[in-house]
Amino acid sequence: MSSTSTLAPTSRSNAIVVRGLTKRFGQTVALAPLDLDLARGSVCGLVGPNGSGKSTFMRLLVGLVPASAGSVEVDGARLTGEGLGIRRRVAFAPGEIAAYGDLTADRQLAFLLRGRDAGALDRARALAKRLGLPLRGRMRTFSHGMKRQVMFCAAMAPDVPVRLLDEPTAGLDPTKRGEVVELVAKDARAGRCVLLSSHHFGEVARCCERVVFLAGGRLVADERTADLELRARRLLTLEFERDVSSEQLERLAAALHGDAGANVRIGAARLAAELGGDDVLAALRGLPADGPVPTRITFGSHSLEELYRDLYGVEGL
Amino acid sequence: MRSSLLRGFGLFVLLLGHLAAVVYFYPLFNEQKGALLQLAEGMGRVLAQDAKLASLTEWGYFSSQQFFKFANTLGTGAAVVFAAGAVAGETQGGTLEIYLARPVSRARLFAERWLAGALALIVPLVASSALIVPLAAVLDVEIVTSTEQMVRAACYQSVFLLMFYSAAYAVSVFVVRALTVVLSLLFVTIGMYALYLVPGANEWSIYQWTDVQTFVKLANHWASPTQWARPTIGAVSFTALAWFGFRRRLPY
Repeated sequence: MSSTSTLAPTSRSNAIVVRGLTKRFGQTVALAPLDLDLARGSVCGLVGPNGSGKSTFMRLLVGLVPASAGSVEVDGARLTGEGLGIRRRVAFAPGEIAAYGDLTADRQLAFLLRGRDAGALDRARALAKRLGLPLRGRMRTFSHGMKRQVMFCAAMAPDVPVRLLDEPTAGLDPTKRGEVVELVAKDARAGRCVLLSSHHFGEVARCCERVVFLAGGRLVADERTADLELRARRLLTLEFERDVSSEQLERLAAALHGDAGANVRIGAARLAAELGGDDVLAALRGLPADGPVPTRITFGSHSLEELYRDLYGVEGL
Repeated sequence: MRSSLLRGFGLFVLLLGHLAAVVYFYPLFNEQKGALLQLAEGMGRVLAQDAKLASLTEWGYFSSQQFFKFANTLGTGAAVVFAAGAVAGETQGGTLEIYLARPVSRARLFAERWLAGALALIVPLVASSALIVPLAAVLDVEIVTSTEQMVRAACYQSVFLLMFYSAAYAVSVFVVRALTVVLSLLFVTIGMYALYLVPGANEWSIYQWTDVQTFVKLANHWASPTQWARPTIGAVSFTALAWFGFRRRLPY
């Protein structure tokens, strides 16, 4: 798992190159044309609300659904005409739990790792033991979280250059979640490209160098986690009573924009201002004295959920 | 793989058990065949002809009992059940993605699954049929029917059953619920079999391809290519349709 991939890369630059990738289901756009390059030796967080296109994007990358348009290249192999080549280069842990109830965990791992390198099953078993999974137990007796861990072990074991992990920590307890995040980060340090989809922004911030944010099938943001954290530190939010009028909010927004040079977004009884610098007191002093009084002021300590809501206006994370 | 072996073994036991009963009761049937001919007189031309053929020769009796009656009914059911879950079962169980996402070519995935079910259907039929001579010896019944005759008929019956198997496999690729495949195809095939038993409507039933008259033609030679061509074309066409559908499940 921590060894460097023995699959010779056919492309030296990026592990995943996506150009104009689009998926439509009838009239519904599941993924709007998307361009993305993902580098080797890094973890990229894929975040967004339910139905934002994260899982569809991963399925497209591994060739499980046909693309409506665009191209995918993984480690030099093109999806069109080289589907098997792609699946040889990618280990995929789907978001939906899938297990054969009659199989033991050991047999399930063997099933999942069919066609992989010779040492993959042993590495998966070692990883399963590390996570405390009973390999002789039947999958039907496993909890949701245990099944998820079996899938994770199978995705982390093969010697491949790319891993696609669709919500690998969903349903896990905080300790296991931390362990999974640590393993993913270590794997990327060994030179692999990992695309990690998650609803837990804390873990994304912990192990991802980059965050790609999808909403409604569209790319909303693609930025370095460090830049995002810097923006988070400069984000000022003001919350008001529900009866605050939009005119009052607009007046406050104009003041913040004019005096503090802030990029301001008006929400329901709240204002979010991305300040140009760190001087929050100056920004607050510039607010009109006869304006509504905030019930809560937050500066620099937002979760990523709040950050995306306030920076991009996307709810439902 | 393990489930295919178990299914195949179960089918083998049933077919062999039935064949043993058929052989065991042959002397009794031989004594009472006049009654059967009398009974058949009012059943229409085709069925009367079937009854006559079945009664006149030992081969007619064995082929009608083991193939026209038992393999046609049990075999059709087995063909449908074996194929129904091939892909629809994975879809229904939510395991299709992990099944397809492995680095195995789609042609291989398709062929493996198809072959596993097909062999579980064919091997028990041919193997149980091939045991008629030792079975008769064990039961102390004198017969002139040869192993070669039975194997030839079993091969033909296998191709016929593969047609239903491939049809069920194709439906399984396109639909989500395995039970839907089983129920809908059993409804159609039972209807077809029942149609054969309706005087005057026999020729509209697909089971005309495996009636007693057909097996009598197979008694001494492999019959005409035309006879084999019909179920073969059916099986190949449905398999091609299944492959077309499977390619949509795993497009690259």
